[in-house]
Amino acid sequence: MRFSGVRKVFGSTVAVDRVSFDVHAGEFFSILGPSGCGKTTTLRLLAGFERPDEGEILLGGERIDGRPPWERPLAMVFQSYALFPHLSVARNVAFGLERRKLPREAIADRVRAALELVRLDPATFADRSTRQLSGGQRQRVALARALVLEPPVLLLDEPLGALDRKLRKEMQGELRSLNRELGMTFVYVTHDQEEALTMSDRVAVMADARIAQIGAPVEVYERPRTAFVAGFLGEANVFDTEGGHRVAVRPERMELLRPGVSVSTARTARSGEVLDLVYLGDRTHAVVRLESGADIRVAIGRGGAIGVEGARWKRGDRAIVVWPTADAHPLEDG
Amino acid sequence: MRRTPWWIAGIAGASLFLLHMPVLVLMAFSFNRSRFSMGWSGFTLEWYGRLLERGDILDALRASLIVALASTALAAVFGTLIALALARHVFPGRRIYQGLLYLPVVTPEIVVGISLLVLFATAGVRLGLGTITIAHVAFNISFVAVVVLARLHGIGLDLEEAAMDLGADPLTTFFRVTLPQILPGVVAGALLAFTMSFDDFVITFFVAGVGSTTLPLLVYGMVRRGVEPTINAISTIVLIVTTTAILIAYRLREKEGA
Amino acid sequence: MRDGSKRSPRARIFAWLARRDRLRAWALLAPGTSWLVAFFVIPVVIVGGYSVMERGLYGGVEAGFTLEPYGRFFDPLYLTILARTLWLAALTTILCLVVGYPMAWAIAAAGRWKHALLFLVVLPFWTSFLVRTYAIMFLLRDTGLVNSVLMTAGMIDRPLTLLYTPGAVLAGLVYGYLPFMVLPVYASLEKLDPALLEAAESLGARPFARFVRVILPLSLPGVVAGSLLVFIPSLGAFLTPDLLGGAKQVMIGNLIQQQFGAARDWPFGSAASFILMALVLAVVYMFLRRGAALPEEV
Repeated sequence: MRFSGVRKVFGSTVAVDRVSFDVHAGEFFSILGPSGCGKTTTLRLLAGFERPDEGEILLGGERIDGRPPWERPLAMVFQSYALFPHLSVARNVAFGLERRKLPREAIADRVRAALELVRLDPATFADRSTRQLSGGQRQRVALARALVLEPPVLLLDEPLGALDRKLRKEMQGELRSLNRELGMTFVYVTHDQEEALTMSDRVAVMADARIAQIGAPVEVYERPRTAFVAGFLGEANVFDTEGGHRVAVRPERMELLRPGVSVSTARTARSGEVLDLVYLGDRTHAVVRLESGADIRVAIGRGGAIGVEGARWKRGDRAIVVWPTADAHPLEDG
Repeated sequence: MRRTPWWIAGIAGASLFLLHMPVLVLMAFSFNRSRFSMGWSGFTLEWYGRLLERGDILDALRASLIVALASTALAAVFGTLIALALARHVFPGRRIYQGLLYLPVVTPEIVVGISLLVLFATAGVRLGLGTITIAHVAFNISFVAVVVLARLHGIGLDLEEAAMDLGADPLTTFFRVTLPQILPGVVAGALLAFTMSFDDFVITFFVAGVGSTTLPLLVYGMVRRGVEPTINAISTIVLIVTTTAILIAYRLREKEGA
Repeated sequence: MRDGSKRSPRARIFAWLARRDRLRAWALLAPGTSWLVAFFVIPVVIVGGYSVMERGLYGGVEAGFTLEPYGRFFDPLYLTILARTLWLAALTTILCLVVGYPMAWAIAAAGRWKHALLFLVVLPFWTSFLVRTYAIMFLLRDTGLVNSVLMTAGMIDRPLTLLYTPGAVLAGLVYGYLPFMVLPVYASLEKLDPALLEAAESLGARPFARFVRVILPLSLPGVVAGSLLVFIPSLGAFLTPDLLGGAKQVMIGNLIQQQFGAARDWPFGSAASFILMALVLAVVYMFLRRGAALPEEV
C-alpha cells in the first residue's frame, strides 16, 4: 500500500501534512504517536472515512482514494469494537460476507473458521448476543469480523486500549502470530510505544501531522532521528554538545559512580546530585540533577529487589554520571 | 441529592396528589349514577353505554383515529429523515436549522391554527379532515425529529462506519444497522406524536371547518353546552387510551436507555 | 464491486453521492423542511401580510395597506387584555416554579422510585389538555367537588363562585403547565453531582448556604428552561380562559379567536397574532441569551 503526499485539513487544523509511506505486503506496520498527532486520521484516510485534500492512496498499484469505504477491500478493527448490538456474534462476523452474496453454508463455514482463529469456540459463542461478552471477547469478535473477509490489509485502531494489561499482552502476542500465520498485512495505530516495539516489523513515528521517522523497532529505538522520537520511545536524556548538535543517551546506557572514581576517555562524565530514586519493579531510575541544571535519568540496578546498586544510593548523594561516548546518539534536529 | 428535607417531600407529595386528583375525580364520577349533584348515588355504566348509542361520538372517534394515524406516519418519516440529516451530516446553517426546528413546538397553538386557517382560506382549500391532517403533520415533524435526534446522538457513528467498512453501501447500512438501532426511538416518537394528534384541540379547532369533527372538538362542544357525565365517560376512555400509548412509549425509551 | 471494474447503477449513484455530503444532507431534509415551510413559515408570513391590510366585508381581507389594526391596540380595552395576559402568564410561571421546584427536587432525590415518579409527572403532560381543563371545571363549578366538600364541612352556606374568575384561569394554567416546569428542573437537578454538595459541606457550608450557592446556580438552566416552557404557552392560552374564565377573563388568545370568528376582523386578528408571536420571540430570545438548557428528551 502506498500513502503518497497526503494532506488532510479540518477547518483550520492540518491533521495530516504531506505524509508519505509505503506498507509492504505481509508486514506488521505500526503508526505510533501521541494523541492528536494525526495517526487516527491517517488510518481513517486509508479506510475511506475521510478523503484526502491532496495526495494519493494506492493499494496494489491501484488508486483507492476516490473510493467510498464500502468499495475498498480493507477491513478495520475499531477502537470501540463497533459490534452490532442487534445481531448475534455469528451474524456480526458474517455481516461482510452477506454483502458478497455467498451461499449460506459457505458463510457459516467461514464464520466458524474465523471464530476459531481468534480462539472463540463457535459452539459456545456463535449465537450469543454481543451484550453478554466481556471486553476481551468483544475484541476478538471484532477481529474475527474483519479477518473473515480475508482483506489484503487489516487496519487496527488502538484495539487493545480498553483491555487490562495482562489481556493486552496476550492479545499482542496473538495479533503478532495471526499476522505471521496468515501472511496478512496489518496497519496498527497506537500511542503505546511498548506495543509498537513488541509487535511491529516497522514503526512510523508520527507527531504534529508529520512522520518523524520510519524504521524497524530496533532502528527507531537505538537510532532515533529527532529528540521527539528519542523521548517518545522509552526514555532518553537529551544533551546539547559543544558543536551545537544534540545527542540522546538512553538511561540504561548510563552508570552512576561515586565522585572521585576515574573515568576512561572512551566515556563521557558529568557530575551532579541525586534528586530522587524511582522504583520500577525490574529496575530503578535515579533522577540526577547535573551541574548544568538539567535533570536526567539513569538506570541503576537490574532485577530482584531494590537492586544492589540502588540500595547504595540515597537522595542528596553527589554522583558522577558516565556513559560510553559512542552511545550518545546524534539527533538530526540540532 | 440524597437527603430530602421532610418538608420538600411533603410539598412534592401533596403536589403530585393535586396533579392527579382532578382527573381521578373526573374518572370516578363517570361511574356515578347521579347526573347533577356531587353525591355518590351508585355505580353505573350507563354513561358509557350512552356513548355507544351516539353516532356523532363514534364518527368523531373514527375521524380522530384516521387523522392521528395518517399524520403520525408522515411525521415519523419526515422527522426521522431530518434527524438523520442533522446527526450525520455537516452542512452550512446546521446550527440555525436545529434551533429553528424548535420553533413549531414553541409557537403558541393559536398562532399556528390561525395561520393555517388563513393559508387555506387564501389558497381556497376546503377545510376538512385533510387540512386537519396537514396541520398535525406540521407540528409533529419537529417533535419526532427532536426525539430521534437525541437517540441518534446516543448511538454514535461507529456502527455505521463499521458497516460501511465491511462493504455495506449507505442504503444497506441504513436498513441493516441504523434503522434497527433507532427503531425504538422512532416508535416512541411516533406513539407520542399519535397522542398529540389525537388530543389536539386548538389547532384542529381552526382548520376543521364545518363538516368534520374530531373527538376533542366534539367534547369541547359538549362541555360548552353543559357538564354531564357522558363527557366524563369519554374523557376517561380517551385518558386510558392515551395513557396506555404513553406507557408503551416510555417503556421503549427506558429499554434503550438501559 | 470488489474488483472495481463493473459497478451497478445503484453503486455508481452511491459512490457519486458519497462525495457530496451536502447534497445528501439536503436530500434528507427536503421533505420535512418543505412541509414545514409550506405549512408553518408561509402561513405566518401571510398572516403578517394580512395584518396590514383592509378588512373585508364578509370576513377575509381586501387590498390596501394600513397600519390601523396595530394602531387599534393602543385602545385601553386591548391594552388591558395584553396586560392581563402578561400578568396571568407571569403569575402562572411563578406558581409553577414554587410548586414545581420542590417536586423536581423530591423526584431527583427519590432513588429507586425516580422513574416511576417521573412517569407520573410526565403523564399529564402528554394527555389531553382539554380533558384536564374540563377536570378543573368539574371541580370548581358551583355543584363541583370543592364546593360540595366545603358545604358538607359546614364552612360555607352557599357555593363560592370559583369558576369564571381569574383564580380559576390561574388554577387551570398552573395545573396544565406544571409538568413543563418540573421536567427541565428535574433534568438539571438530576445532573447535580452529590460530590459537589459534600465538598461544600466539608468546606463549612450549612444547608441553606449549600442550597443558595451550589444547588440553585447549578439548577438555573433547568429553571430558565422550565420558565420558558410555561410562560410561552401561557401567553398564548386560549382554551383555559375560554372554559374557565368565561367571557370575562379575556386573554390575547381569546381575542384572536373572536376576530376570526364572530367579529370577522381578520386584519385585526392577524395583527394580534403577530403581536403575540413577537412577544413569544422576544421572550425566547431573552431566555436563550441567559443560556437555558433545553431538555433533550421530554
